[in-house]
Amino acid sequence: MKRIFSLIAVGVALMLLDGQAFAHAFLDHAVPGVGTTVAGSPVELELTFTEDIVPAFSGVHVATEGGAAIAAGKAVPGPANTLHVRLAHALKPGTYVVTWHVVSVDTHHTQGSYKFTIAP
Amino acid sequence: MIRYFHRALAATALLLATSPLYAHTIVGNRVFPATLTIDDPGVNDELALPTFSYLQSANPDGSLGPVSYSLGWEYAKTITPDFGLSIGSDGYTWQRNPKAEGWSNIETEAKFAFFQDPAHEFIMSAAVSAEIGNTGSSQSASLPSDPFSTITPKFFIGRGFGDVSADWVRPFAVTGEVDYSIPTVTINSDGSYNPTVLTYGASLQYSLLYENSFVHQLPDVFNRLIPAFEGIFSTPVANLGPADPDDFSTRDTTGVVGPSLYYIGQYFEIGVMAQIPINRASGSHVGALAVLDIFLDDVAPTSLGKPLFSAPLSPLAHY
Repeated sequence: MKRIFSLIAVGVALMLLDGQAFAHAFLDHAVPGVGTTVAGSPVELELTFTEDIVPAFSGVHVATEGGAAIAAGKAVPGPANTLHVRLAHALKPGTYVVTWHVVSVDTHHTQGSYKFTIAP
Repeated sequence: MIRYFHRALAATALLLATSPLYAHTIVGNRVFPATLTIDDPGVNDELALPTFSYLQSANPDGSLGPVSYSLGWEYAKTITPDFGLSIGSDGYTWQRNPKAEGWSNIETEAKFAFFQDPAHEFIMSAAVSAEIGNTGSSQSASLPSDPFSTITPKFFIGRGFGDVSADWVRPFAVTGEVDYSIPTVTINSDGSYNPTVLTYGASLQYSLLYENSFVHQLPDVFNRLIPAFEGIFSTPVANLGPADPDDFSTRDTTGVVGPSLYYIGQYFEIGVMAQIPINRASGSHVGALAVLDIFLDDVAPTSLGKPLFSAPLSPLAHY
């Protein structure tokens, strides 16, 4: 048993010694939310990731469900692993597809997409 | 009764001997958790400590058999991004009815992920493990370890369904494992046989982690959970020895199935499972499995948690 507790202590010590997480960054939450329906057009999109990201190698693209690109600004980094994308115009009611790609600080690349809907 | 005890012990040992190594794997956007009944299909830098198992055996006459609690461990190290080594053990087992305790043998494994398709969240791996005889408790202990070694070739597969168009299907994933365990000693000094065993298992997972990121945003309390249903089965296939009409058949398939739940944290995973014996030879009541799995690639990414040999990753490279 002593051996087991010693190994547990080593594991816990390792966790405490290195306080920064470096792993694949996945989307933690977004505004408007993934798969949600909102009442009116947002002014900007906000995407928050599970890990620290490198903004220079990260980006966000918005399109209609049919694939037509929506004019939007460049993804701007915010605090807490967040990217902000300002929309050029108010969006009409309908479903939109947000495609993102990010690189976490350990250089792992992740990408994905999600939909949100603006109610009529 | 002693004979029943030995048979029940053998059945329990068979289940414990096929217990998995533990790790988590990321292929494309899919996180395959370190499942409890079978190993996940990838190679990793991780420390499973502790693993916990509780199982109550039955005797052939229906009476209560040995009740076992064990605490195990496993350390996995990547040598290259696709090749890893691991060492571990089922650890220490406390048994009641009758009372006994002892250390299990040490197990080592070499594993190679020979195919990965991130776009389709698909991975296949192969491994060879060796349980090294006489590295646990001695033969004079109340619960001795096997005095012989066992060599086991293994095959693993994992597939996530994130590429499917139907949103309700995308959070699902399946994993599977097939092992063929070959003891290096076929007949023991007391005349009993050590069978060659085919072990096979699978998991069906529904990733709330995946659903939250790609399909539908979930409340924080749910978005790091992966519920699953899994099972593992062992069938002796050769060197079975003579049948005993008063005992469990040496040809019986044993196994457990049950629901499980995994929490994926920043640095660790916690998994719990209710293991339901598939027949009386496998156990008499619902048991439990649990694991705390520490992600060394996240805890110490620049030292202990990275492959010994790998080309530096480019920021634009896909994994």
